[in-house]
Amino acid sequence: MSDAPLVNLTINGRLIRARAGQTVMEAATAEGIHIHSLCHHPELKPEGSCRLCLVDIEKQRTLQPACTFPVAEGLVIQTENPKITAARRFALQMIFSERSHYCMYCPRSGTAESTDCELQRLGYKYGLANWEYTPHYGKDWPVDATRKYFIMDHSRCILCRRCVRACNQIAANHTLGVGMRGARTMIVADDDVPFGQSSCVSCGTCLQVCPTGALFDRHSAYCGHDKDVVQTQAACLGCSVGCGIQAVTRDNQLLRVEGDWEAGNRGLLCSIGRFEVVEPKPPRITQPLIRREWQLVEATWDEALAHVAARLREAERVAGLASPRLPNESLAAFACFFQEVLGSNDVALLYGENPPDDLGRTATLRDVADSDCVIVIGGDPCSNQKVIGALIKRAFDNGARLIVVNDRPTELDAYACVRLELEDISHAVESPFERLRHTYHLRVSGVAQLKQAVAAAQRPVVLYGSGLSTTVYAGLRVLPDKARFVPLIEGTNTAGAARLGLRAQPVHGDALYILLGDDMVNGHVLPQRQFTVVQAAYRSALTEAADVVLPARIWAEQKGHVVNMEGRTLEVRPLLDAPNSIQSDWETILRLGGLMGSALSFDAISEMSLAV
Amino acid sequence: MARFEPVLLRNVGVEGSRTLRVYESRGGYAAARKALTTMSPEEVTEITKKSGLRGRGGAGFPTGMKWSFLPKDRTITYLCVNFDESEPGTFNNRYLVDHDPHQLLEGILIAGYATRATTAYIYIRVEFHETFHILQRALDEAYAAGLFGRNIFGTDYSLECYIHRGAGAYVCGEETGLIESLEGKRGWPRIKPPFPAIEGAFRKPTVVNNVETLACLVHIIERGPEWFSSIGTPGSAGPKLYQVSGPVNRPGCFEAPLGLTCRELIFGDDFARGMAGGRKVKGVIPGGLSVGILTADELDCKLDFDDPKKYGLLGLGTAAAIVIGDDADIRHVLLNTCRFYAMESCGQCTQCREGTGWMYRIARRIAEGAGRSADLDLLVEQTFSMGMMPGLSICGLPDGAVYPIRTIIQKYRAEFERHIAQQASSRTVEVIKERVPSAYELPILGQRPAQVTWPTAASSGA
Ligand SMILES: Cc1cc2nc3c(=O)[nH]c(=O)nc-3n(C[C@H](O)[C@H](O)[C@H](O)COP(=O)(O)O)c2cc1C
Ligand code: SF4
Ligand code: SF4
Ligand code: SF4
Ligand code: SF4
Repeated sequence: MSDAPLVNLTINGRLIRARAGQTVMEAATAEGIHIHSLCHHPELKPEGSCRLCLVDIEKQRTLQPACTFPVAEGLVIQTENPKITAARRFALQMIFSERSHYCMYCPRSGTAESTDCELQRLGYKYGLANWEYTPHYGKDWPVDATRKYFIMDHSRCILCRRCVRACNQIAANHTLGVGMRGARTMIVADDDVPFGQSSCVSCGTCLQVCPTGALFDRHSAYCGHDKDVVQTQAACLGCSVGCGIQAVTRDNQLLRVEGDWEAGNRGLLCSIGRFEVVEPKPPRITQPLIRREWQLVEATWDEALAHVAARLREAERVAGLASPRLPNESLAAFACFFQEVLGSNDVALLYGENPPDDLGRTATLRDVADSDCVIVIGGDPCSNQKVIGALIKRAFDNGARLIVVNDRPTELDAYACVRLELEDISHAVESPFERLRHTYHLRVSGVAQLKQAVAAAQRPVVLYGSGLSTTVYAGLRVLPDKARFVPLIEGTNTAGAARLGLRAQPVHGDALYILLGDDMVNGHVLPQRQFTVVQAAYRSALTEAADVVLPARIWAEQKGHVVNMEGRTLEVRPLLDAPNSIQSDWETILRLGGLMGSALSFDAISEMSLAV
Repeated sequence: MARFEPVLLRNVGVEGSRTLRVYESRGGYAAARKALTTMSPEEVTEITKKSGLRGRGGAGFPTGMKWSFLPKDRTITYLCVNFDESEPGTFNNRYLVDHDPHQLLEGILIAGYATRATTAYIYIRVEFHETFHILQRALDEAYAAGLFGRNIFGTDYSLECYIHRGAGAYVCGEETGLIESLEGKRGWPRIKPPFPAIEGAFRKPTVVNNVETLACLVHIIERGPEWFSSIGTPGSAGPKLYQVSGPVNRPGCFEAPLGLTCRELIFGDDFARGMAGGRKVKGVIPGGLSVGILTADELDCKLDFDDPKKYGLLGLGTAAAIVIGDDADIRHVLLNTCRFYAMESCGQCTQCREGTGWMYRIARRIAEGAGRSADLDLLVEQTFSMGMMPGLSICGLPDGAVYPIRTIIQKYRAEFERHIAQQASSRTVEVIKERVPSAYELPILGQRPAQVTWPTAASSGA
């Protein structure tokens, strides 16, 4: 696109330049000229159906939709004039007459300045103070509240179909579609089943693009307009993809999470990143707890830390387990503490698999979505790195070939044009007969098939999971240089942890220090030790079994860095203020180190984490 | 006027006219053979242009010109035959194929050759079960005789032809709706540009032509473009299948040169032979519902591509006259019209989806005896705000909706007013109460405040 020739056109008397192939809407937006629209969304393919972006183009017989009209040399365009205003008012009148827009009950509704509803905003702008076309309350439009996280009120739907396009083009999930015809047209899921029973994976992309109050989420509805809230760019810590998010907060509460359109995930999130983060959590731990007479009772920080220091000193050998969800800074402090203070190397990650080998030539998230040949070896991105799963499906929708190599069935099998077992690619060395086999259309070896696929593609991407054998790696190393790699890492910051020497492995000490943060690891059972201290944000089975519990910050209160699967270091920004009594992990560890007579310094830790 | 020798219908009534044997014995496939073996595709296109043939599907676009929009450097071209025929009152395509399926197939061969199409798809309306089987049998026969497939007539031209049964929507007759439906998707018209000639079926250059248009080609090749353009009126060349339905003595499909008057069509001995049961004509919808209505005083309108426009109509349409007797209530004519478009709007564009639905509900209220004369004004005004003409929609369906609605109200305004004046005044409130139990008290209902004092977009700037 960028090397397309430039064309000159005039919009509202202003001479501007645009690239051939752009639409009038794109050219105008780039110049800061706003053209109203309801169905257009910059991230979705234009559809030209709401008919609000009409502009007047000289020498065109009729008004034309800016969102689909291609620019051309010498166009003279007006974006506002009485004819356009009349057409827009008519369209708006029609929309308001169709379903029941009782704005006063709608979570998006506001004043001309504060409304978050794009329809209502246009209503104000074009002076729709009355109904010229009597609304027909004849039909009861249903409200579908069968989905766990968000609700659809059909009476506020304007059939712009942004949600349908988002579900198809961004989430590549193909749940939403349109049913019926004419004024009875409805947004439907699958074969018109309730949303809750449909193939919807609750990624919430449809919710994010809806211009009206038709789709609204249970958690943040009625909690404030855009002007009341703070939006912060941050990274999701749900898994190793590290999707870009816009966190929406108000009064030190996390209201909602939206996908960041600018980031590699291009606005897409999964249900964990978007919805589960704001779901109700177990009770927060705000005070240190010490077990006294079988009971965990509240204690002061000094008491608790002194107690921990004494018991750790007594122990023969102290083991450490850290959650891979924690930022580099916490993990570095933890690793330092074990090395310098306890002189122990019995420290590991609490769960997860060690990251796969780094094969270099790392691809980015964008490369995955834009690839024309995706090879997935091991792993299960549709369950463990859901956004990656969606990006692969998106590439598939755009015509990419998909090859899946796995010993277990995965969701991606249905999309694969070639399905192999790991065994098939465990022979890196091509037999001399390979070419003969090929000539006679015999079954060629797995590696040869991968090589062919990579060679035939322009932007091949290989995603590979943990636990692959060395022979498989050998097979991957012989793929042509064009191939770019993405390791499918389990656990959010496993990559960062690995760089600090923390890996998933068994530990042995008679005392145990668990750095848990806000991780939820219900169901984890650890063997009983002499002494266990857990540093955690929420109560869980682990804290209930501990001898001492130290409070910790949650992800949204932390400051630091994590390393994602692309190998990029992402900044973790504090979105919320932590309760006064709760320090960050490294502060707690430093204090503990001090009590145990060591000169652990902040500088040493930050040096270590910066090295990551 | 001398009796017109039928051209398109020349095989109708002949024993076994559906079979290849009879069709060939009456000169069938000679035109296709002539075109394929003695002419270049460009020559066929040139002859078609010269004949003055305009599309019979409704829009009347010059057929040769449509073909010449295909990009020169194309490799794959598709020909789609528009046999969706869902315009109310229209049945010429079905009549033609029922009696003479090979004529269509021969036309497809010629058009396919002229456009260098590799594949032809006949998109047939799903409700035409019988016709589908007739056509399929004819196609099988033609394939067996080597008239389709590889190297037709020994030339290096090859054409595959498939019959695709539609999915039952009016809007699938719109050419891009047809293409989407053919691709297996919801029949939603596409935004243009790109036009089908550039990016049509399966994103390849495509020509969409009506059944009757293609049938005409056979005769243009057979008898020459000069012969064809000598028939009809200036700008409207060739024979045309006219159809008449309604309370006439002989409803049916008749062939005549373009430019037949509406009066002739209804009262002519060769045509419908006058009104049945002593009725008088109240009005005629002369070209399929979408063109609008002619009153009893306007029957001298010539049914060609241009004359109907002088009477406020959209055009010739499909030349299917729906005759309305004087015993019909004009309110029901309006209601039926509005209901059709409300049911058939595909639901993509705001104005069409809501506009047609809104019009239907108002028409229903009027028909139920609760109309108001302000509704009529609003309806007429609305007809100017909808459709492709002002640029408010993706396809021409709302244009087809506004012409009949506007002309019915404008031309029969007095009758509407009479009904409204006579209806029980309490009826308005009753009907609204029935339909909208909670809203009938709203003060603004249907009445437009004289002036809205809100800063308008124009005054507040962009
Ligand atoms: C709503 C709508 C419905 C249409 N239905 C039909 C139809 O049933 N049959 C048809 O031949 N053309 C129909 N048309 C016209 C086609 O879009 C197109 O103009 C025609 O198939 C072109 O063929 P022609 O050039 O041979 O006339 C329809 C158009 C619109 C806007
Ligand atoms: S969606 Fe917008 S216009 Fe509709 S009720 Fe809500 S605020 Fe009002
Ligand atoms: S939540 Fe995601 S999967 Fe579900 S309907 Fe919306 S976009 Fe589709
Ligand atoms: S639910 Fe929202 S996004 Fe979807 S069509 Fe309705 S208004 Fe548009
Ligand atoms: S104008 Fe009407 S029928 Fe045509 S595409 Fe738009 S909504 Fe569908």
